[in-house]
Amino acid sequence: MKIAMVGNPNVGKTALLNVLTGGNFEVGNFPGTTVEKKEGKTKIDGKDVIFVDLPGIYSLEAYSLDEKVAKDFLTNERPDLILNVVNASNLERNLYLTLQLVDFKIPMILVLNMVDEAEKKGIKVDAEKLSKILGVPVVKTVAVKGIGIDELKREILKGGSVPKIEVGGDLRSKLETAEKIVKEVVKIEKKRVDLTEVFDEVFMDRHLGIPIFIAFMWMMFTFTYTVATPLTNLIASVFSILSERISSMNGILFSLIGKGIIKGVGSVLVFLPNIAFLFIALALLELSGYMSRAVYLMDGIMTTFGLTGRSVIPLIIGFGCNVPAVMATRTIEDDKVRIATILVNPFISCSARLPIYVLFAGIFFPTLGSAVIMGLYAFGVIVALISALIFRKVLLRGEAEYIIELPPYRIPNPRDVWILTWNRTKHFLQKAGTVILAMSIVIWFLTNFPNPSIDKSYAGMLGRLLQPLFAPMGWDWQFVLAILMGFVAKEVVVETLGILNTPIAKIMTMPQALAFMVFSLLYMPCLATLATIKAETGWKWTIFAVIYSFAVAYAVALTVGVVARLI
Amino acid sequence: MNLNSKIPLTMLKEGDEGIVIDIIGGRGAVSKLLALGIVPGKKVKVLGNRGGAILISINGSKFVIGRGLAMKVIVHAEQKN
Ligand SMILES: Nc1nc2c(ncn2[C@@H]2O[C@H](COP(=O)(O)OP(=O)(O)O)[C@@H](O)[C@H]2O)c(=O)[nH]1
Ligand SMILES: [Mg+2]
Repeated sequence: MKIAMVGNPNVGKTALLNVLTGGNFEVGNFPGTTVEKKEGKTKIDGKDVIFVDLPGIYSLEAYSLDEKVAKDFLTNERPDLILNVVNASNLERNLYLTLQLVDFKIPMILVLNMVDEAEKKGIKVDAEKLSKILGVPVVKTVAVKGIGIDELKREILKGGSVPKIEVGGDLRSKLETAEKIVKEVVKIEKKRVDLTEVFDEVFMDRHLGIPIFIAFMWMMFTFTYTVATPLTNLIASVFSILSERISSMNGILFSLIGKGIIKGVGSVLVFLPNIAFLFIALALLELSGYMSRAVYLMDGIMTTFGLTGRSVIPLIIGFGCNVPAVMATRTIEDDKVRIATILVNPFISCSARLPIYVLFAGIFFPTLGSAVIMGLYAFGVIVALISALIFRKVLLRGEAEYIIELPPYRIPNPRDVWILTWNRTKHFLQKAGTVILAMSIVIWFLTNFPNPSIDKSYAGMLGRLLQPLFAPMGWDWQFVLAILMGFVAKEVVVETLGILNTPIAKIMTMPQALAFMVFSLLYMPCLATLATIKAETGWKWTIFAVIYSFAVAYAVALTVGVVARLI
Repeated sequence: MNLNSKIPLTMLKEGDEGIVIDIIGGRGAVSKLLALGIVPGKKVKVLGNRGGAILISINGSKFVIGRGLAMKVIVHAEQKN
């Protein structure tokens, strides 16, 4: 038996799927969490059942990709049963979709979910009456607490029934019918104070809203970096001990494993705690319902630069890692805004670039270190916003339209936080892991052949060969090689300088160092990010991203070098 | 301002209420707004209008609408007492 879950975004379809199948699907408290359809298999009373979780949709007119996915599925695959999940506290709007589902003449069960929230708001729905009017079974549930699930399973085994209600074909007559039905089945008792209203009074306040948003962001980064630091140090020391032990043994194979693979992969795994903690923080923001508030708060500033409030979250995620950030743009419905948001994302300084700043700022700005680092972060944001404005004025012109529903505030369930965090972290590990593993071997080869002294290796030759390109900045070949290697992953810049035993303070001046930091910030999305940009936008924009960022980095680094020398 | 006039949603100030009378624009925009419950005859309250997107409450749901789209929602401003 094949069962399709259909409903508005954020009504609890995925949560329901999880309790029905015992699966680990991602729930969200942000519209548009389920972008593709997902399947879950289970047995009910020994009967095989396949649930298909369709993206949340408001109608079946097929104007957006999500609606098309859902409509095509219903038309072409004809499931045996539709579970139409509706939000009990917002029945009228949910019924528009229900009345459109009627046209498919597929057996249906109406799942009246979130009755707990409805009751808190003083909303009572007469399920029996609703069932009579529509001609389908109606089951009340609270998916997150497992309430009503046994009854739902019983109804599923009975197979639901084809809706009997008569309704006109056009949307307007469906809207009228929905209004009439709601008048008959919904009773609103005296309202208690709604906590969501209280929170919104504060979080969305004209004066406090943005400072609170900034405070949350600041907390998120403290959490990501400070709390993760002990774990980061632990991983770093484990890998360095392993690497030293193994590479100290004789033989080329041990050198490959120790100096190449373990060292290279370790240099990326070191960031795992930061990234996992960032994802925990983001999951909390998302599941609590705050994320969509941020969209509103930041919309004004973003529109100034040709983006919309929708671009804020991907830009913020970019501070952690640009790979998930680029993927997070999927929720932006306007294609031009989406591409602009993707293209500027690599200018947002990800966590992998921090070690570069720390290294150089520590040597050249012993007292002003953190100010310089903050400045670099801010500079990345400025370049990103100005670039976005240019793209939207020149290459990606056009008005952006969007509308999103604000979910109520909810206390995040630890299980849901874990599922979201793990799925995203896993993705990062897979993407970065495979690429890094391969490149570690390449770097190892380049630095050990034909002669194991780096000076005389292929890497040394390559650095010297390309050095003239960066002669205007005055960088030595070691730095050029570091930049080249850093294309794989930015943290490799520091690693390369380490392997080369570069006497940085001796062969570089302060203006050159400043130019180098700026160049490292801007010069090119790393390989993993490029792969993601390619997957999301295609080759044309990927090549554009490479050329644009390199040109910007070169021009800016040159300017910074010259200006810093004059001061 | 003439109270009987039809104005775009963007012209309502924070705290103002109005009745939706029409949605102009292409079929895509119209059907999307209708499906979300932004339907002629419904009362809409503007909770935030600070230059960027507009924050509204309608039918017990809250929405953030980008300014461009909000221009397409024509409302009848209600007199405030
Ligand atoms: N209070 C309450 N919250 C629920 C219920 N069902 C789901 N949720 C929460 O609503 C949010 C959206 O759920 P999700 O399953 O992702 O919705 P989907 O977009 O329809 O798949 C999550 O934060 C869930 O934890 C319910 O019956 N009661
Ligand atoms: Mg979902």
